[in-house]
Amino acid sequence: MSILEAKDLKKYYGKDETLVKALDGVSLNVEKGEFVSIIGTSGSGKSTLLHMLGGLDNPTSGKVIVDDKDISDLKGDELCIFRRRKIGFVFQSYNLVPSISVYENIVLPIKLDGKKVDKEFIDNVIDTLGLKEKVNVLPSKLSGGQQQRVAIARALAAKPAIILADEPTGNLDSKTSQDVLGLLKTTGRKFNQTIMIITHNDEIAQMADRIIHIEDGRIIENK
Amino acid sequence: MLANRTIVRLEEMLDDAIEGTFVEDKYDESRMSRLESRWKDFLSNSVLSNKNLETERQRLEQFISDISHQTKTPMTNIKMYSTLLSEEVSRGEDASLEKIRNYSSEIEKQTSRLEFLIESLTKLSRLENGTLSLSAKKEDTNKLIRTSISAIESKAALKNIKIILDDDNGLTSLFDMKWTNEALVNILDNSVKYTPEGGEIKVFTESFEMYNAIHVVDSGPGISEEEAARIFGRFYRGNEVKQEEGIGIGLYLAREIISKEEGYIKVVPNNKRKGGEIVVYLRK
Amino acid sequence: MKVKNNKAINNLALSGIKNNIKKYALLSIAVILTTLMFSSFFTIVGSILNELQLASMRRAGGSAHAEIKYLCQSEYDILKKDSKFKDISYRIVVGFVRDERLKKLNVEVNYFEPLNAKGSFCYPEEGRMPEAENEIVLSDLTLKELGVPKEIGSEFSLDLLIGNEVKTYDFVLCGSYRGDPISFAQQALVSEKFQQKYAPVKQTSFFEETDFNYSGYIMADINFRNSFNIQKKLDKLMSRTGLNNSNSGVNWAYMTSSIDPLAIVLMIMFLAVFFFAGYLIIYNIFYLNIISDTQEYGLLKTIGTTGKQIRQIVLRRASLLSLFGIPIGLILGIGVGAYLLPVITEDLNTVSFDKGKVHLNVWIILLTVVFSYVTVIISSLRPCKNAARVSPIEALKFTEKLGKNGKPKRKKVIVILSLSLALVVLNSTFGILSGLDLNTFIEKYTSVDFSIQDAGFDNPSMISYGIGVDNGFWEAANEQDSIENIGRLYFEFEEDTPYCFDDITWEKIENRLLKTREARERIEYSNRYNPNFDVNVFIENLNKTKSLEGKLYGMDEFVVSKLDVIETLDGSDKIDMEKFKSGKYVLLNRFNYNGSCYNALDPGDKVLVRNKRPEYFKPKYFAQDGTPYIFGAYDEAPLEEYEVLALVEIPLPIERHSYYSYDFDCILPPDEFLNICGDRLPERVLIDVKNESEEEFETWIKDYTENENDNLSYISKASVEEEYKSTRKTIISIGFVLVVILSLIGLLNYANTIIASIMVRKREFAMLEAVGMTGKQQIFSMVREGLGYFVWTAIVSTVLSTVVNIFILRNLMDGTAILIWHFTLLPLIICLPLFLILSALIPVASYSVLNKKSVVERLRVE
Repeated sequence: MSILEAKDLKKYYGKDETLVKALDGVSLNVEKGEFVSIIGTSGSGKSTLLHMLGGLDNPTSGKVIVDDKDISDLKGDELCIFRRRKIGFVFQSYNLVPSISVYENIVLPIKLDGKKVDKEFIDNVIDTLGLKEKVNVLPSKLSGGQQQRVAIARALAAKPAIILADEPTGNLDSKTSQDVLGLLKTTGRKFNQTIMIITHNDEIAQMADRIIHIEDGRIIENK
Repeated sequence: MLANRTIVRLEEMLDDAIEGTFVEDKYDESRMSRLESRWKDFLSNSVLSNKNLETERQRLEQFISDISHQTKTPMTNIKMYSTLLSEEVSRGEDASLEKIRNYSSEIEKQTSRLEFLIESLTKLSRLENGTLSLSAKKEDTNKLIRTSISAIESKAALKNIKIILDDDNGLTSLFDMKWTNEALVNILDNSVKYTPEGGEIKVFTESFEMYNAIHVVDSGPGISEEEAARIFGRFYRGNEVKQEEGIGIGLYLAREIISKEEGYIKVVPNNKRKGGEIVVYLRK
Repeated sequence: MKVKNNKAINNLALSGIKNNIKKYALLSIAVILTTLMFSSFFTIVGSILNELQLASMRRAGGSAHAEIKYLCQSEYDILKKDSKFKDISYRIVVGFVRDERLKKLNVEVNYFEPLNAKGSFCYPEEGRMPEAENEIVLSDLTLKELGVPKEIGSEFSLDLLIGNEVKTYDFVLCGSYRGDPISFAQQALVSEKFQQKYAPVKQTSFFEETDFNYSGYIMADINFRNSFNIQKKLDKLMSRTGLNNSNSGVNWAYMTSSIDPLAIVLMIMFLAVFFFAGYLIIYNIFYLNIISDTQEYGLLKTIGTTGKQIRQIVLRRASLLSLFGIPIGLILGIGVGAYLLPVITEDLNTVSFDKGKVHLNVWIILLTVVFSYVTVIISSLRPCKNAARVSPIEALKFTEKLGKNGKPKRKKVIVILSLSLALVVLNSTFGILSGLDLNTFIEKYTSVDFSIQDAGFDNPSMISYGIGVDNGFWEAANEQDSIENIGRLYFEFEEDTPYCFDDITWEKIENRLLKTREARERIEYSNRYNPNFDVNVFIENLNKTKSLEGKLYGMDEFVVSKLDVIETLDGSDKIDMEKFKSGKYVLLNRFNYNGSCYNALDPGDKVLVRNKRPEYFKPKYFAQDGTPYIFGAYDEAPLEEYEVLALVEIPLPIERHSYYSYDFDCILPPDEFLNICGDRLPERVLIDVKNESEEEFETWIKDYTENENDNLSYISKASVEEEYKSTRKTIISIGFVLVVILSLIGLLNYANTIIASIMVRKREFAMLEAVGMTGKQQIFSMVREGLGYFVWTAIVSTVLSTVVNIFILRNLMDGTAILIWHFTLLPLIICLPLFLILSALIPVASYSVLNKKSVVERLRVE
């Protein structure tokens, strides 16, 4: 079952001589429960692709279909609410809200949607990510790896359609990276989550079920 | 008026769901919009569980075909050797004792292989169906490694393979001793298989914040990047070692066991290092 | 139906503050300062208004919303049955004190219900309400005049007018209250028994009675549920009960229009300055907070917080800060108000017990809270919008972009405006202060060294009619060696028998005076308490009678010499004293309204003045017993014709301070004045003493007015100097507080901007340092930025100060009698160098505090 589909996605910046084709006709399909990685060098358009797929930005043309809904035409607050419900983000720089506790960070997307927190599920997620002892501290008191684990927990908590991880280990040493990737892989399976990792590191990409290689705004390999 | 509109929309949603065409109408802060999202969620998940049932059925089919396929060779062999044996025995005095010994040992070998195969497949089936549950608890990782190594020691000795164990620390991990041992033995067994005569296998542990890793490094040809993704497929056997005996089910079983324990297995492809390396990550 | 995510928003709003206390502390201070300004302002204004209203009530004699006079028993019973008011209380008229000892005091005799006594400010503070027939409660003022000791049980007798008879009654004092000198009448409270015996309640309506006998009528005081639109409520009450409306009236202390427009303009200006200052600082700090929180808002957006929710978060943070800052600011502001109030009210023209006291009420708190909160919210609207507009992608990139992000121009403008505001206010305060020159002040307020008058002169409850400075003083004063010059001033209102003119002269008056905008304004202003007043009808009536009301003075030569001469008959700048003394001439005061002057007549024109010698007195109205009343009795008296000798202006200290519609005031020599007005005592005696004898004379006159004749009081140059000092103190105090608060706001704004600028560029600085830019060079670049602010602030504040000085202060100061405008930028010249130092010091200090870490550490930030 397809959970995420991109159809001939294009994103151009500038015009005429200064025209930059950040994405130039990307089509891909992700099945529910898959663990996919997108690999590409810096400037290959992989981050732009992530922005499009995650509803952070609108494409110049083409379609993004998440859970059967075409999101290409959504604007402003609609996109925000879409993200809140459908996308879990894990960023290189963790992007936790510094002023609230780990627990509050994890349940924030749920609370923003005014939903009741599924305590059992959240406890399970927190336990799985080894954050049980840290739930009441502020993110700034945590190590990088721990912060990224909180970010993963936050992404899992809202039970999104897909988790998009943008260079999730970019700020971490190799040992911590291994931990974080392992957790992404095992929790994805455990909670039946679809995960897409965007990276320039092929060793990280290896962890995935499928690797999509992108260069110059186009997919050059999909296996 | 408002309630009426809500009912109309709910009916629409139900109709669409029956037809399988339901898509959320809009995203906003209204409760209707949230209901739509959750409705979609529910539908996706129920479609998925239907799909899971389907996969289960396919898996069973696959299992039966696997059994028939995998048992075919040993069965044929047993049949063949049995025929040869009876032929030889029927020659009476002219019968070559050596041949008879040879055939019977071959029959024995094929039988044990068959036995192993059936046993593995049964285990796998139970594991996959969840009829058999693992009880992961805190256990001594080094004890696991030693138990596993002792299981393949004699086999390694036959090929004159040195096993180097680096186990100075008393790491504890979350796993089921019996089954994890099975998984690790399969991995070690695989390494012994692919390591040439006189080679060596290094086993060492590494500790992470969330996981403990058991590295199994051999001096064999290693696994290419291409292969790495497939090696854990059911009944896969490496290209380079077709001639070697063994069946691909071991690694697949190992991966199933480790994932059931919330751990994972990583293959380090041979473009990164010389020889083969498989890493087992167990939850702390 | 909306999803309920308030909690999450509240939580984000609250925790954001909790974990960034330092950042939000600055904002809280801004909120506190803003509230402090509003709070102290409303405390002061509220207290003064309250004070004025209380004073009006005391003058009016009661705090009740409305009064219905002269009711008989059945009428009161009807009234009492109505339930649409809060309470009703009554007193019963018994009579009036007609006692030799109380000639100067107007004392009414009534039986009071206790509630009515309280509302009429005469409930006994010592002792109790009268019970026995011979018990009485009097005010301390009355007792003093009577010479009766203020002790319970004192026995004395009083002559009272009850009905139409004056009789002597014996009383025992059973209580006393503090009489307010500003009220029109003092009260004598008698017992119910006394009232029933001598003035039984009337049973027939006032309108059916034929004689002027008030004794026995009920005066009802009514309080409605609130003080909005009392007149309408009263009218409704009267029509409901069917009682005659003509004896009912609203307490004029509740009439709202008692604040003059200049004060309203000033108040609005103050509010605008406070609002602006508050806006500047809250906006600026909030804006910088938002910039430094951009990443947080962006990240909130990526995980699905909508722009609306972010706006809510920011607004809620503002509200939370208000929740904390406004109460603190409110209390501090009330403190500042309490400190300033006595200084300000010292000059206030009310005589009351609680002068200078803070009158806290719900309105002060409510208005402060509303104004402060509205300021906070308005100031945070833009930052809110900015926060809501943060793009999630930009926020993701922000870590890298931080260094390049310069400071927006708008912020710079705000800091400069905020700093300039403090300087402009400082400059303006100084401008006003320097305009307050002691010599002009004294010149304006004392044309003479000493002015002696009847002590009851400014006391409404004193019956000052016909009383003045007695001959005893005249004789005693003339014996003093220190006196250089002495002169008398007589005074008379030309009310019912005004000045008359022939047709030609009237035409002149009509064209030159009555048709001017200023005269019309002045007439309207004088009649502002009359809701039905129509200036056109008024002027039409004047044209019919060809007469004007005005004041008539009689002045000795010495007093005349103090007048400002505008134009004379012979063209010289001196008044021909011989001609003046001949009694055929009159001096005419020039019309002057807020600086606009008009000569209604020219020297040589004729003015007709009614001769009011007693022999021309023709009684027109009579009481029941045949006693004639004094009004309107000179209608047929002859008119004396005088030629205008000169146009003059009467200096403030000499002028009688009661204003008539058009200042048509005439001056005659004393002999002629007494000739046509009848014999009387001079209202004031003016004295110039020899140089260096001032103290000697003051000692004498002080002793004289205190011991020999306490009916007299005096004003000396020295007492005016005191007044000058207190006025000065008021302006300094207000100016000082204002300047301190505004400078604090300005400097906070500046420091905040500099700190933010350093924080934003922390990494850039580290990078620069890594490639070899020394700390000193960096500090230098910060200082240069600070100097940029200085230069702009200097320019803006100089320009603004000049504009304010020339266009606002000038008009304001020229409108007052005691301030002389002249252009000044002196405070700026003094303060700017000081500010120059600060503008360099603040960056240096902030830099060294913020950049303590090593380069490597700083390069690694986030």
